[in-house]
Amino acid sequence: MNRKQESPLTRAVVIFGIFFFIALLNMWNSGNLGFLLKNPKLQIFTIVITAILLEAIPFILIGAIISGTIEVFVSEEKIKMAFPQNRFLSAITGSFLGILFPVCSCGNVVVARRLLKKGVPASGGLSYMLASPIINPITILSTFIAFSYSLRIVMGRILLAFISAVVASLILSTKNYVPLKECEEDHHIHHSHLSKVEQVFHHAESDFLLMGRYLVLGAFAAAIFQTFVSRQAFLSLAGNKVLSVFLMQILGILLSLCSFADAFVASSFVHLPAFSKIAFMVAGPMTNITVSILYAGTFKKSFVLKLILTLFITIFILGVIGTYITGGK
Amino acid sequence: MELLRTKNFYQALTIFIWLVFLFIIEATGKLQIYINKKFFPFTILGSFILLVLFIVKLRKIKKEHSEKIDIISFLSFLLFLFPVLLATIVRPGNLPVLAAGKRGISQEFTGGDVMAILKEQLEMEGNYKKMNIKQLLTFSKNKPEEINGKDVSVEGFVYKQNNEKQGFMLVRFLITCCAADATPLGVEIVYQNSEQLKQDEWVKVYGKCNIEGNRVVILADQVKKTQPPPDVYLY
Repeated sequence: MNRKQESPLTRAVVIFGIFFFIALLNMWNSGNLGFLLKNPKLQIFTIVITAILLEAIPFILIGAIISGTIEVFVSEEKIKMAFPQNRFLSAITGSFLGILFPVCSCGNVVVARRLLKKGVPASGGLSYMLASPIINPITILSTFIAFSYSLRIVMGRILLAFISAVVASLILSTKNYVPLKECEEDHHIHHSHLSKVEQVFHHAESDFLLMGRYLVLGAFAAAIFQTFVSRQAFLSLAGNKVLSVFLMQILGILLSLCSFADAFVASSFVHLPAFSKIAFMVAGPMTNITVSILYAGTFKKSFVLKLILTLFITIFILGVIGTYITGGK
Repeated sequence: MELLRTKNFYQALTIFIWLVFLFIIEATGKLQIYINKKFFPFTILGSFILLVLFIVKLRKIKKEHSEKIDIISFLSFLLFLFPVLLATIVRPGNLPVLAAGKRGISQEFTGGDVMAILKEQLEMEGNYKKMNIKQLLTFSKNKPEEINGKDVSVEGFVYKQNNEKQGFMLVRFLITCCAADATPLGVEIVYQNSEQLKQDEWVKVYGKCNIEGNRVVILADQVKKTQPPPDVYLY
């Protein structure tokens, strides 16, 4: 990056960029861009991407601080002792850990990554990552309120999330191993001259910058969907019971709503069977676009594909069984 | 100048840009376009964490020699910059009416803290009971006798699906966490002069409330054009 090595092309691109930016600023200032900027689709896209980021970034930051604290203050031995070493028991423990750390679906990927790096049994780390956005006090309470205190829906959601998280984490952790992506930043934190508190913030910064970029990509994809595809079209296709479970799962994935809020959207699908709504509220937080892109920043690609596919099939099968048991009500 | 080519510089700049963005959006009251008010404390907490991260980063820049910026880190910086630039240039207003059409308007509302909504004190505006759309839909489901055949006043924006001449749909967005989950709630308005009203225009409707099946229909005595309220969304 030495100045002498800069090519004339680079310089031309930079100069063009500056002129383009000034011209854009001028048009914006004089109101000539108004017709373009007032375009409703651009407005919706901008509001949705910004809203998702403004809502998720604080939680990513809180997750990053928790993750940094675990890294600096909790030893590997202590973490390992907290989880049973048996795969099955570890998966069950992990899926209820969200009751203690209600970090929501974006922040908890950061925490789960740290737990797995610290040597938590793979099935426990995975089931925590998958179940905690749903099995936590805030989501349970919001589901309860959104569905007018219907215990049936709340229990159905917890049960479906619990079974799906345990099944997927057991299938994907057969050798007690998950292929975490190597992160360059992790190797660049030199601790010799830093206090413990500073170390926490350095780890938090590294986690925020790493996961934040995947969050922006995820929010971008979700905003594109919300701008161009109609929820109504999805709902009108969902006439058949089996098809409605499938379509609501897809809708949950594409909408990328926060698990604290999705129950209120699901409750507005008044004419759909209960288990289609439950599949929407389980598939969303576990496999939605934003969170899947965060998984892609955490694990190797082939693992992410297996994870999403396993979850999708498990939730679908359980959703269809639930629909038939309840008679499609 | 050497500093401008280091990874630490761009990382510090990313944190600084988001810190300033959050601060401006909080200070100018624009935050409510995007997220539910009850989440404001989290955004403020987020700004505070970013401020601490920024200070710690500056100390790190002073203490440590940083490596030069690579292409991935530079692209990551641009990625973080993109939504900030977009929101700054577009300066969005409230969710446009197009979003109501895309999301489908709910004429029934089963969520929310029903007991709390039913207990809310309702003001009177002359002979009209002042209500919002969420209250109307909650009452129609749980205590229809309280509103059926009664005079009510309610505000929202105009949504016309097929350029109807005899009426329109009065709509408000309900948000739980953020604008991504905004759900349009609507009631039907029967009004002879509805062709005078424009799509997306904010109005206040005064009229008699009728419950027809699961739908709330208001036979309007009067429709007044109005400015959007300070809280454009229902929570």
